[in-house]
Amino acid sequence: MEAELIRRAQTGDQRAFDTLASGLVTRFHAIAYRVLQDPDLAQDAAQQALISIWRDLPQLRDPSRFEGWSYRLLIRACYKEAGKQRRWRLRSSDRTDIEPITADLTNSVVERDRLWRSFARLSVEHRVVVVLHHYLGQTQGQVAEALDIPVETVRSRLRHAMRDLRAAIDADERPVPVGSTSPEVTR
Amino acid sequence: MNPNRTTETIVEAWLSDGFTAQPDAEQMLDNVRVAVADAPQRRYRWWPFPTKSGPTPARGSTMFSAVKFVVAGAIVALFGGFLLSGVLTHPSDESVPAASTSASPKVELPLEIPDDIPSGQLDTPLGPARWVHLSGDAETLPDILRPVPVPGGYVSLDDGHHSSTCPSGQSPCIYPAELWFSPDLIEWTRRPLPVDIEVAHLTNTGGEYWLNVNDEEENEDGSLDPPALWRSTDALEWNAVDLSGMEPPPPAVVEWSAHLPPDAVVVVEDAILVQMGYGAQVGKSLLGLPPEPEGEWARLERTDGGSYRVLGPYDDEHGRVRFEETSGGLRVIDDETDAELTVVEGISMDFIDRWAASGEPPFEYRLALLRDGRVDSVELPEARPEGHSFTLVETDDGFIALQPGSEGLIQTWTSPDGETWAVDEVLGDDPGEPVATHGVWNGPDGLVAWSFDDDTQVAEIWESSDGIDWQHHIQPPGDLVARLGSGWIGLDGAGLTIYPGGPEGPEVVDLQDLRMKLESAGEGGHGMAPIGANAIAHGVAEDGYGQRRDHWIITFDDLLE
Repeated sequence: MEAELIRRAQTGDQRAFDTLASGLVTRFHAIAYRVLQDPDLAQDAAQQALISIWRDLPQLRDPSRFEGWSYRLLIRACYKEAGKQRRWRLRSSDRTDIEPITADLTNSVVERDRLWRSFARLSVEHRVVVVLHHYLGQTQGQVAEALDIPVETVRSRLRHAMRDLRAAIDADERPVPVGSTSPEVTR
Repeated sequence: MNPNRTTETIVEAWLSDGFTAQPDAEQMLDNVRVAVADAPQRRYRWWPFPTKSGPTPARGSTMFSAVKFVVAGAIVALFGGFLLSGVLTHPSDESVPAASTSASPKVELPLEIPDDIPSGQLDTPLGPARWVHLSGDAETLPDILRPVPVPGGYVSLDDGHHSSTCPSGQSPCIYPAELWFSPDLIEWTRRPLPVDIEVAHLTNTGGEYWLNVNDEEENEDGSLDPPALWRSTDALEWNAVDLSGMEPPPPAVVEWSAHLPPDAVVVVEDAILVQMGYGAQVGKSLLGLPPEPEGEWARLERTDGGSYRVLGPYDDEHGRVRFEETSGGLRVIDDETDAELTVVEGISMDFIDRWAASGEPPFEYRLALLRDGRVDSVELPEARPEGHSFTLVETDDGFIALQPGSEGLIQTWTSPDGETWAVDEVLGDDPGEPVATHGVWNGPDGLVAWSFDDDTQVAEIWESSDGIDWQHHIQPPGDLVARLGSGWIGLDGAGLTIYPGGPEGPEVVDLQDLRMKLESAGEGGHGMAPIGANAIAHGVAEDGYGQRRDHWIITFDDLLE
């Protein structure tokens, strides 16, 4: 069914594309949200990726390869939005949007908060490989192909991203002094 | 850390559940609809493609290994396959020795197929073909079927993968590597591997089967087990190859992690040539800065003033240093205080510049020769440390090593014995020579150089059976997955397609009678692999979890007659 929709959309059938996009929009937002950690930027990235898919769809030679191809366009859109995010962060570097975490909250909440902050501090390139590998379940080879980078680079990025996330988890599992706050990080 | 929770499981659970904002999907779609209404689609001229030069010489049966085509096919997977469109001759002085050719055994389905297994016959442009459709689950069939002929039948290595979701809902799923065996391509059973492994690669070279294994699960101390290589004459009994003598690149003061690439081994007689990738484990402590408790990693960024910013994984700056060369190494100086941080013996500015240029700690591939129980490092003349792996080729006259570099140029070296190497010419810098922006692969009977132009989105390959004459191909509709005899077997959204023709105008013939349910491939996707020299396997994973498994095997009976 999807292949037929793709073929029709390739010929300029906007109704077919609309059906196709309807099936993608939520998934695209979920991926972009995890990479960018901002639902509004994720919305922009997902929309831009869908528009790029429409524009470039006639160039897709093999509809069965649509999924990987569409992820590539989505990641490009995420990179673009991440650039805006970085500029925004620089302008608002004195902001602290995250509520302080205190020791009376549950461990899992603290852990999620630490993970969020730690993940946010990774470069977008590192976040992308973590999301593709650990959220979408792609192999390191698939990630390398999707991003057009050597698999060793994927491996390197994954290793040090996971190392830093593990550090955040370890910090969480150490006793938290009453009244202490987590490090201030803007997002 | 709680030993029952790995970082991976925690992160994957968080990625699954920790993002709660819901999108306004309808609003997003409305925005897209408005944009699409005014956005023209980009259309290029796809067909016919220009041909570059003369007729195609007759060729024998040529086959590239399943692994190679899976890798290579995926690289150009977005935009389809290839079509014979011309011949290019590498203007060599024939200093490159001719590659050896070894006939692959003919693959045959049993004469009697059980009634409960769908099967049939086809007339194709490549002659009569027989097919079977195998359906099963994780207990009866491999997820990925890439049969390799072995004594007494076939083996297929499913090289393992992770998934964030499982049919039962738990997370994550880990599907370890599995080796399967079949005496007849119909009935498949698991065959033991020499070790429990998560990711592995199987190759067949020098009349033996080689299994290379890279550890991907960190030990509790964050370390990884070293890569392992196993060899077998029957893919049943495996013997470990001692790689402990392989030496990492200089400088010795740096710690290097090792990684075996998929095509790590070639063999000529009793000489085994192995390549290993090495990544420098360098960070702040090497520069005299406080070490990271969780392990070393840092990148260097050269500033306009000649100093270097030391950056962590968050692009957070840990200091600025500059270097002064000493008689035996480098003095590292804090750029702000002018204080000496450390003196590192045995390291040069070349290494520092590589570190800064690559944006990550240096990574390079090295070769070693294993013979008579010895391990000797191989030094290729004029080789530059590159992040690209070598393509190693065994020939009747020794070895060829090829390494793609910048802009698709391919540096080549030759050796009669694996010990003495001569630098050969650079391919791709003259008209008619292959370029390889996406790598070079060595199949059982030839070389494939791949190139993909992101601007024009045209994929091209060059194919050579001897390293001297190169044939140029450019993509037709569909997706090339196998070369069978004089034809190509392609895969596109409609099913299997055979491209039997040559540069005079290839005839494209759909196998109308054998649709492959590609529309229902769904999340699980599909793949294809050649078997021997006259058959293909095509698999579809319909449920996305790899539980239900469907494979078609097609043998072309006349190809080897």
